[in-house]
Amino acid sequence: MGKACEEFRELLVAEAADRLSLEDQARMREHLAACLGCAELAESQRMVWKALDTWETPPISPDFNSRLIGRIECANLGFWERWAGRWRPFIVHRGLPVAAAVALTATLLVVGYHPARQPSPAPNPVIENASIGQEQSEGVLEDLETLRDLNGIAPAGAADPAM
Amino acid sequence: MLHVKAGDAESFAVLLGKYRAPVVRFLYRMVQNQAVAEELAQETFLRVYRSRNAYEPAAKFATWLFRIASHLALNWIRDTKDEKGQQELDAAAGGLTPQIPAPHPSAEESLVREATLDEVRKAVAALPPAQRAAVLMHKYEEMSYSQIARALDISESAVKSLLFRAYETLRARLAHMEG
Repeated sequence: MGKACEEFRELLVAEAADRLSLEDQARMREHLAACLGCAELAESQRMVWKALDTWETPPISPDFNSRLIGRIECANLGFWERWAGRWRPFIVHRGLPVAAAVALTATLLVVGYHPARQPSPAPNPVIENASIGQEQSEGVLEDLETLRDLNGIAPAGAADPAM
Repeated sequence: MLHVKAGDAESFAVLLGKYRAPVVRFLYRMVQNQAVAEELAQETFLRVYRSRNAYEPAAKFATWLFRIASHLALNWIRDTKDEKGQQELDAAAGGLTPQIPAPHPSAEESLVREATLDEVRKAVAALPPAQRAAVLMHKYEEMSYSQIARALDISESAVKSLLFRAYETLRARLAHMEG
């Protein structure tokens, strides 16, 4: 391949794609008429171009735009909103009840326990009953002693000397 | 794109309407799977939307768009290269995307067309990813050497080299075929 061929090598693809300027088209035609090698190369490049033209692409999915808009809307959410959206089902169905139970327990603990308001110890019914019984017994004993004293002052059948 | 940068949602819809088909087409021919192509195209436009505030009109929007798309496609090809065997089977079977038939073809014409298409898909799939991207942008999107260079983040001379080698390979595989 001569120097002229190298010069036209770059133009081969453009020639096959009909993208040459008018001036380059004229130069190319002139060269190809004189160079069999380049002419064959140009022809094979045209066949390649024609083969590539047969490759069509499938239609785009009808929901392409709606899916993209959904992704853009999600991308517009802030970090915490995306985080909450991901964990929302868990939070609603399990997290809230658990949090409510914890809060209630904590409230009860705080309200139920306070050192200054410790109630006085409950009275022991056994001890109280025992002290009451003792008082009663002492009273009965005193009464018995009083009666004994009274019996000792006035012997039975004796007249009253004062009378 | 400058309107999108300013917060105009309708302008984004206009961009989407104009560039959705070329981007999906390019990605489909790169990965040869319609579902993957649409997923990558969605990611492309999502990145465009996210980057709207940083967009500078220094380069043509289409070039910037294809830069993102080709980057995603090349990453996907690299990450799934171990599944290349399955991709070849899909390509051989026509994948899940049947080719649109020519209007009223004869049985023989249909067979020839299918055989040609199969050869074309295999030939393009066999190209190295960078050559594949350059050929697809050059042939189907009619992008210039400078646009392809910006999209692939390489020099123009590198683009010419990629295209020269790619078309040389394709001529070896496809030139015997009648279109």
